[in-house]
Amino acid sequence: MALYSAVGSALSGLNAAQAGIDLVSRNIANAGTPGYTRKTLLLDNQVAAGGSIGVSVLGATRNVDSFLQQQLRTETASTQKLNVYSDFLGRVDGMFGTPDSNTSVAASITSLETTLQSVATTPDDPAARQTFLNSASNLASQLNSMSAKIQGMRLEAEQNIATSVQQANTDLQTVAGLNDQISQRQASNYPVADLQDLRDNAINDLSKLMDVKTVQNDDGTVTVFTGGGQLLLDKTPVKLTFDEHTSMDANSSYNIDASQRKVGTITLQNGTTQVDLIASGAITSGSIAGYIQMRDTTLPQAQSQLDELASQLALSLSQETVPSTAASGGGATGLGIDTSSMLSGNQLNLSYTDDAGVSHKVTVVKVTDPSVLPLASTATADPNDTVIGINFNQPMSGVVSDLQAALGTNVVVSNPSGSTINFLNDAGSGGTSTIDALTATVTPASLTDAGTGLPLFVDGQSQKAYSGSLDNPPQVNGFAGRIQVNSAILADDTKLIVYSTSPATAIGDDMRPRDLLSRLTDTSRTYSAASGIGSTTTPFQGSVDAFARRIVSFQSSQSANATNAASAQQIVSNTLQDKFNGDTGVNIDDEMANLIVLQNSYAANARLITTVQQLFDTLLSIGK
Amino acid sequence: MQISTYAQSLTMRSNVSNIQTQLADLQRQLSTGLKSDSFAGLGSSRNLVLALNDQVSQSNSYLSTIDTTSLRVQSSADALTRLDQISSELQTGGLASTFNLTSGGQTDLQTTAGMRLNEAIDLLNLNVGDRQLFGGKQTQTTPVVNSDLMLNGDTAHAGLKQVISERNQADLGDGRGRLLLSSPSAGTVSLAEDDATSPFGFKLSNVASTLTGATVSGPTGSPAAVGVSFGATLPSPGDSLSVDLKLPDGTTTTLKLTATTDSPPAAGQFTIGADAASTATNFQSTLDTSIQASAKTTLKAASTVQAGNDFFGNPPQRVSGSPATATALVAGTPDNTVQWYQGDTTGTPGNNFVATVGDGSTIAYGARADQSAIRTVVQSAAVLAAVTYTGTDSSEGAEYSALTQRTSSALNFTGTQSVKDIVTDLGLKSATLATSKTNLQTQISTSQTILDNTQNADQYTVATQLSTLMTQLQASYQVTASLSKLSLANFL
Repeated sequence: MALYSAVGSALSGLNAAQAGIDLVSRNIANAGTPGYTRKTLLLDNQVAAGGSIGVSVLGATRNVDSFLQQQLRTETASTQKLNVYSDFLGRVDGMFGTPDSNTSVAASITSLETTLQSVATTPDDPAARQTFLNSASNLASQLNSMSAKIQGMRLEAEQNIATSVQQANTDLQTVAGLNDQISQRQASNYPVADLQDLRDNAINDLSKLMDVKTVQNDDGTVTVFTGGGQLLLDKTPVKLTFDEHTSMDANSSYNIDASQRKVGTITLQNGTTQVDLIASGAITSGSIAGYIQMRDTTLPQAQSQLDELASQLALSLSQETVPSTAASGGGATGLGIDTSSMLSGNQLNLSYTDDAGVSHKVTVVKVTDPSVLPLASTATADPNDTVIGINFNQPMSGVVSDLQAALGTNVVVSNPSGSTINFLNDAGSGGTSTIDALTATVTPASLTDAGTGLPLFVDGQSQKAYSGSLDNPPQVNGFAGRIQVNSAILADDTKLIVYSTSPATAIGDDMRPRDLLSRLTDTSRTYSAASGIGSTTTPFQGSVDAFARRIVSFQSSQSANATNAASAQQIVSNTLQDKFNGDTGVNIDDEMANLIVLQNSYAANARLITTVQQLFDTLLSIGK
Repeated sequence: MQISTYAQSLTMRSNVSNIQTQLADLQRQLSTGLKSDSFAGLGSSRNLVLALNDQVSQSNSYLSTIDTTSLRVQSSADALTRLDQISSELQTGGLASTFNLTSGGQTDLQTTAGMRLNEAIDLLNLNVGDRQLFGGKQTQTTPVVNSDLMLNGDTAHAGLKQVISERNQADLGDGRGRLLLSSPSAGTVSLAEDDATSPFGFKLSNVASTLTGATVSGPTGSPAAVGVSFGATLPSPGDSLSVDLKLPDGTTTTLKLTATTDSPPAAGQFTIGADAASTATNFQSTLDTSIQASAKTTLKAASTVQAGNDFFGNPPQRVSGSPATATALVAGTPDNTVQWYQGDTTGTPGNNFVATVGDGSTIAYGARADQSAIRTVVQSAAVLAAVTYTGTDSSEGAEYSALTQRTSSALNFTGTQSVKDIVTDLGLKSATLATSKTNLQTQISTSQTILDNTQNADQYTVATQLSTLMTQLQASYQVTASLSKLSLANFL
């Protein structure tokens, strides 16, 4: 009977309206919930025996543009990475103080120079000497503290990677769990939209940490890969581990070779396979990539700039040039030099013209650790020299034969006596080569009677002389963290003046302070391109204060660039987020309008039932 | 397109917080007056700011060097100006002074010289900023000893007076200036030095003779000797013989003996005798008198001046052994002789300091007490003050006159650097310093202006931006408030 089916249809209408109102209430309740997408009710015409018998509720669904979502995740990862850059580099920039306060490391070197100028003007004034030593100590502790801060930031990055890896594991577990539920419910035709929201949230979380790609499967599950293509989650998630290191210094660096690696790395464990995700370059974006970049590249570069600065500062004040003497033998002539005062890292600078008339410039670097040989041509900052590393930690005959092997037949090397080495031309064997110049660059440890230079800065608490040794690990590594003012000078500030004991230097003699000043301000030095300033072919050249200024401008410009890049990226990210939220979020007006429709629908269906009731009453009253 | 309510409020919130961030930055600019509180925020001008800050610091340090140096140069110049006045006073005084002993066996000029010596020593021991100006690099040692020690010495150390006395004895010998006068044979007179290498006494330099019939030889031999042999033909009256004698201080005196028939002869004349032998005897006697007279006056004055040279030399020179028979000088040691100058003796005196007054620009400056001109003034005053006279010996007037003549001549500074020259030099340095200072000040002020323009926020611009932002923020709040009312929920 048609009236009965009308009641059935009206009832299904009432149900649909109730389900709709329920959904509206949930939409409104979650209007402010991040990641919540607007749900709509799927309705279907219920058909039986070829005719409609009412409306059926298929459940809540959501409408998400998965392409937009993937793009948003990529941009989010990038934003996170750039935010890490901006944050860390901002702190590096912060170490230079405000421009007007003149507290940057460059200003400290300027202050070292101006106080030295006072000493040169009034060498006999103890106050001037103490002021200079104060500024030297300040400079040393400023370099120490900057170095410590940089290593502290690297350690912080390491800790952040550890936390992020834990978070990533949690997220992957969540996604895996939700994958299971969704596939089960989907198989049973239950609504999955809310679970999908939760899963998206977890994946969004993960994409802040690292760049991920997802692939939607037919059973409702998603498969997660890293941006570099490593599988993170299929049915079960892989396990990410991070062997966090709890201390960090300038010698702690990443190495693909696990035995040389002194910082943590992220390992992906999938069953029995292990993949080093940093080595494989699987993570290219997200905050983890940002932390890795800071820990392994950007901050070590800042450290190496400070190290180079500290190194050149120490060397500029202490280095002395030892001249050579004429030597001859067996019909050949040349130059000889005493190598006894050379420390590891000190150099012999040899110029000769070969038989073909071509000039050669050779730098012989003393090393005592043969494992670092042969040295790269970039071992010295000078781009025009040939670098020969020679192990001096062996009998002189070995030194001579190593030198001979490295120099070829145009130069004849011999050891006439003691630690003197002669470099003779090849006239003895009928050649026409000439030895043009030979000097040694040494760093005397003695404060007097070794030239007008002064080893004002030394290496570490043990007051070791700084000679830029290239032995493993190179002395320059982390020197900014160890640089100290020579305690013998702190104990007796007249050492700043007295360079000779016989004849004794008068206290009013300005020779040494003026020489030190000219070494700092007038002498142009060449800086290693390894610090990222200058290149190997055209290295940065200039005084120590100019290099310090270059470091400040380099780092602050990096910081400014990172901040600009981060804010530009933030805008891209925000625009996409706005669009995504706008498309998928809840609009309360919309929901209210929907509520009116549903209310009306409910009222109409109820009215229908009342009408059917009246019809039945009418029908039953017939014949009464 | 539909906009979700949540996205709308998020956008609103981020817009408002964006404006608030800008507002905070502008407030900071307004309160600190600086565009940026970090080098990163300075943008491309950070290199300029770094370079200019360095330049300003360096220039300020040059300025402070210039100020310190100027003070030293000016003080040195002032002290030396006074020393130059002393020099002039002694020089002119020496030329005009007559031998009138007033007190303690000294003339007025000598008493003045004693006071001027004290004053000169005071000037040279000038200490500016805990630093001796005239001691070279020995800036913590008083460069010149006090006048009492300098003149009188102490128990262990010989002063100038003792050095003069010894030198006088050595130069005068037995009163003949270390010359030996003899007559090897009748008619022959020989005048010889007592020692070939001895620096003391008269040195035979030249002989010129118009004596008729006399054979004059020399000076030849070692030690040098002059021989006069009278022949059968005797000299005519008016014939003469001149012996040039070199004095210890490098000056020369001439003894002229003229033949006369007068008997007894006047001073500087000898009587022509009956034959060669008696003429030779007369000649020898007159020569002896002349030598002794000259020794007591000219030689003694020259000896005194040379003793001054010895004492003020570096190292001081002393007579070796018993003075009257000594034949050599020996360097005085700090143990036995007063070292008048205690300062730095390395290098060439004068301009011993270098001030860096700009990038690569240096000025050498300074004067030292042992610098020749300054030493001459001290030495002249000291020698004049050291000598005393008895007033009983008639030759003392001539000796005094020979002495003052020599000191005045030394203070003429003919052909050498004078104290005035040093003062002029210091004055030029002072002027250069002043010019450098002006240049640096201009440079600093220019740099500072650029720095200010680069670093400082323009208050007007900031205030304008601030008010614009505030309006914008107010509008945002207004819209937010209105929008919050615009919900369908409010109208149902």
